[in-house]
Amino acid sequence: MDSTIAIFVWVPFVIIAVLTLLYAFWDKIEGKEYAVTSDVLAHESIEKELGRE
Amino acid sequence: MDIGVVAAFATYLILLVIVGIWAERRTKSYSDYMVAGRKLQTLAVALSAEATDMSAWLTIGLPGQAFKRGLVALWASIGCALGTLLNWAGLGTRFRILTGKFRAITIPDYLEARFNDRSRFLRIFAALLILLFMTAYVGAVAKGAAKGIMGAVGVDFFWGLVISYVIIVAYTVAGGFWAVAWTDVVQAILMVMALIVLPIAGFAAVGGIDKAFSIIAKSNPAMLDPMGGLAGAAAIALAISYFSWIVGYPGQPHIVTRFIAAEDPKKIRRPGALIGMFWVLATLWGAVGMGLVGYALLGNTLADPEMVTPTLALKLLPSYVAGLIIAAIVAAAMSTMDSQLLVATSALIHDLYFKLRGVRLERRKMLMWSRIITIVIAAVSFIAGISGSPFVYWAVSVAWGGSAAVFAPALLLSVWWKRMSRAGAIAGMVIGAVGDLTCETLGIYPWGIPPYFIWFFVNLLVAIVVSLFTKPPEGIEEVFKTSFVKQPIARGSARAGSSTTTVTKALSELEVVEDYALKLLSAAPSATP
Repeated sequence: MDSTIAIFVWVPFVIIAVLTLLYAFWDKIEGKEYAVTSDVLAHESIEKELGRE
Repeated sequence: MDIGVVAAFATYLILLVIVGIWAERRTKSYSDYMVAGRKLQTLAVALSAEATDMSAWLTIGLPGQAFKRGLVALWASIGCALGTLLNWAGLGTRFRILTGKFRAITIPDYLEARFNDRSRFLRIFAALLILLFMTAYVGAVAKGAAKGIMGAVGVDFFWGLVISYVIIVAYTVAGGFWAVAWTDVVQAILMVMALIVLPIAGFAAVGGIDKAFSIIAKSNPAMLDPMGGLAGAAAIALAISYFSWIVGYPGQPHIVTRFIAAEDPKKIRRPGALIGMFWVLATLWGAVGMGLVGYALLGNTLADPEMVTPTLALKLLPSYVAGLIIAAIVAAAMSTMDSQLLVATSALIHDLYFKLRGVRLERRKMLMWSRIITIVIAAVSFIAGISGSPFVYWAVSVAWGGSAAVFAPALLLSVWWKRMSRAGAIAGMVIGAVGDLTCETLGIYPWGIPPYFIWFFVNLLVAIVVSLFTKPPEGIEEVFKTSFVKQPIARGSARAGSSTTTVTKALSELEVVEDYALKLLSAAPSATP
């Protein structure tokens, strides 16, 4: 494979993979994460808000 | 009709039936049906989002483009991969947090709550567009599934279409979001296998990657030019036209609904984005590899470039494996179709009926009506799809770009910028819709660039400028303040309980077991003298 082609094929792949890893582990890098409360999870039944149980 | 191909296809259908039956048992309520009770496991969130997104374009369209135009098709892969990353990083966790906070289960729900829109304009506008785009889109995607079924079991196109609708409607109506998401997981696994195994088999058959590229270079050197043999402004316009996919992802209702359904917002980042992105990278690069190796092996003998995937499968692989590859083509279409069907259902029954009219029903009736509406929308899309109506053709052609130009800027800005106002959202969305739909309808593609790429930025700019001159919704500052609190990451067993604030984790079944075990272990020393 010609080096120009290899660069075009693999450099974007590697850059996107690195960006993905950066995003995925950003909370570890920052040392902080979102505090997720039960209010945000909202796992309770949607019918409670919409309909009659 | 090859018995191996039919057997493989039957295996795929049996898997769908098993998932459908399992999901039906889990679907006990309206919330299960619409968003898996907001408890969808991260693996399903990740793979369902990506399989839903890609459709048969990934297994047929992109390899066909690479076969026809060569390496220039890789720009589409780059644009799609970056767009997917934008979706995970730009919306992902924050969108899940806000939709949970607002108790929103659809995009119109979210927009109305986020902008405190008492006029209901945002709900009606968004729901009507989603209903139109998604219903038309289902009919178009179904044609891809029908063609795959034609190839697998040898029926004609009409019966291929009927079979694809019957299968999808059956499992969607039975198991709702649970069925749609977990059949997507099965379909995503098939798709990634097909797009890794087949290019590898192809390169092995041709004698290696270098050999394949030298064959292409001798036959048609322009195919190995990343700019497709063009230069200057024409080359840049070509690259942008492929690359433009990047802006579309955060506006697709059938994709972003996966974030709303996610069990745990924190897991959207990891492992969600990791699984989703590496699936996307493997399949997008595999699809281009498939097109290129297909050209090296088949040359100009293939009349229809989009037949490169099934042709290579039947040529290179044992019939049972080739059948699985053909099943992957059908799976790609089905995984998109089922999700669009459910999103269209929610736009009609939830946004335009239950919420708009303030209808309150018993749990059983809400579920029953949702199922009936799914069947009705499927029937309408089936009839629309086979009607050949110019309006349906128009709706299909503008669905993806229209969703991108209308919803993507509003969703992205609204989760990051608390200053964004209702007037800004409405102005941006209306201008995005009018501009994009006009350009698409009249065929105005400046420099060959898709209109949605341009109108995305116009929408964004208008939304920012109008928001700066108008008031943000009352109370939104408090919502952002309380919803996006960051805390230091707790370590080890202290993670779940040591925080001063009450932090609740969404526990998967495995974690429940782990949590229970930890409690037992911590209790054990106090029980012993």
